[in-house]
Amino acid sequence: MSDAPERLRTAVLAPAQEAFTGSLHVVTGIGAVLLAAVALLIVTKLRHVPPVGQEAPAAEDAPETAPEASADERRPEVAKV
Amino acid sequence: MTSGETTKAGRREWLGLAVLALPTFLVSFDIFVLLLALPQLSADLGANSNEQLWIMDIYGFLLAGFLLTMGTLGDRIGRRKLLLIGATVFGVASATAAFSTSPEMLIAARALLGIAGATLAPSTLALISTMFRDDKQRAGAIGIWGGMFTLGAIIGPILGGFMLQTFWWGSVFLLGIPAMVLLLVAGPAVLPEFRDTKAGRVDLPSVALSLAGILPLIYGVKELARAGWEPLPLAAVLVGLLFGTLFIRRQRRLSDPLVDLSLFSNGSFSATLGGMLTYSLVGGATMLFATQFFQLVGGLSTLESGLAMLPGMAAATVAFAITPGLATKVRPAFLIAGGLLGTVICMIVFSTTHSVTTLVVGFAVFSFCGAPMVALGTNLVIANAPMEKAGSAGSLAQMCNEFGSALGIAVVGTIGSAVYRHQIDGSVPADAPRSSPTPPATASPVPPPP
Repeated sequence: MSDAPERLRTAVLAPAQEAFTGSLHVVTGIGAVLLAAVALLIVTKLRHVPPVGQEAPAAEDAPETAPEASADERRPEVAKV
Repeated sequence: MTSGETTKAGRREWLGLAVLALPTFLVSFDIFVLLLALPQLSADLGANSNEQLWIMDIYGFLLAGFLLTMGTLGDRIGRRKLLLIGATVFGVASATAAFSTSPEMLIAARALLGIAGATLAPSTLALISTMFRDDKQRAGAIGIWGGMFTLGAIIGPILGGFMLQTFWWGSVFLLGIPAMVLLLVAGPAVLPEFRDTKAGRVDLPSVALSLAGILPLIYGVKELARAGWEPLPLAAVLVGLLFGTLFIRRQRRLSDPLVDLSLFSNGSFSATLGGMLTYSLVGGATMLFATQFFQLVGGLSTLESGLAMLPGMAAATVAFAITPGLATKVRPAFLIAGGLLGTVICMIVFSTTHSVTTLVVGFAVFSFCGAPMVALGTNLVIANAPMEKAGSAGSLAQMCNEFGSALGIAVVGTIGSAVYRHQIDGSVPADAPRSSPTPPATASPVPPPP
């Protein structure tokens, strides 16, 4: 009789651990796909941004709007990181 | 704006950054330390499980709810002024929390801490933007700013654990007070003031709509993760989405909106925010499942599983420090994307591993590789916004982190729970419990990335 809880524990724990490991695998698999998509998005949208402290080529560096804003007040469309 | 055209920051600005690092460090520190103190304070105050959840959650709810308002408010009334007001309230709320005599009093103090906390991150980011006009210096300053979050998560359990063993639970809340006093004393001397003199008054209906949208949305998303597809959280999400839509429509009509939606017409700005949101989403979900894996499969205690995340926090701190230097040589797109490819490899390894050690080491590599997305991403968001909107832009970056983490726990966590239930069906005795091990949304022992 005294072995019953231990048997139940063993019968539950091992499959629960296996099932949870399976869910971790699925979640991280989804994460891999999402992060790969973000990497692609970043390369596509930010590849024109020059390294920190360097100026972008003139053609890409046009300020977007706001002619009344001074250069110091408004940063250009192409960001310098 | 380039480094050659602008004035470089001097000693005063770097001293100012050291002062700004204090509240940044404390916000992260407080999250970790409360998790350690929760068992003691619950026993002392007689808090039931529902009250314990509110003690934990109310802070995050109100922090996320007030971020947008506070970011814009700082731009209007002055960033330094808002920071100093927030620091004062944070100090008073910390003292109230420390000497709480009932769960209700502690929940109220935590609510006040959340509102005060919402002033800190956007104000500090906006002030960094004001103080560091040089691109390289600003990137470095934001790297240090980001590193303070992870440093808080590392030092939190060490110092907090010592305080809890030596003094009563309330002592951990008092740790923040000297730092806030130092900020109040040194801030006016070393921090510049900046406010948008052309901006009109804050649109109060927009504030109300933003709170009516964000608060139910965050509550609903967290409860969906905790309780499953119940009617109340589902209704909360729908109410949040409704008011969120009304908020956006109002912003489009106003000449001086709370959030300038035209910022999103800049592709770099939108893509960076989207990337930060997704990274936080994946990071939050991975952290939650990893800590549960440590406990359920690895047999570690809650505290041990929290400590197992520390190498990851340390790796992120190092990466935050070196990323700005690398970014002077490599285009940010390639640095961020290269780091993200590293995180993809980590996730592929996680998706096949059965080892706790692999997960601990892998999480450290993941955090290291993901740091450029956070550090350079924050810098890009700030850099792409006009100077007078830096507070608003900073609050949007913070919102992405808060929402991303909550969404990751809810959405990806729900998928993980479904997989768990599917796999366990039929493999355990009929009378054995089948509930998912996916924990309360507050169970993650480490704060989300900054």
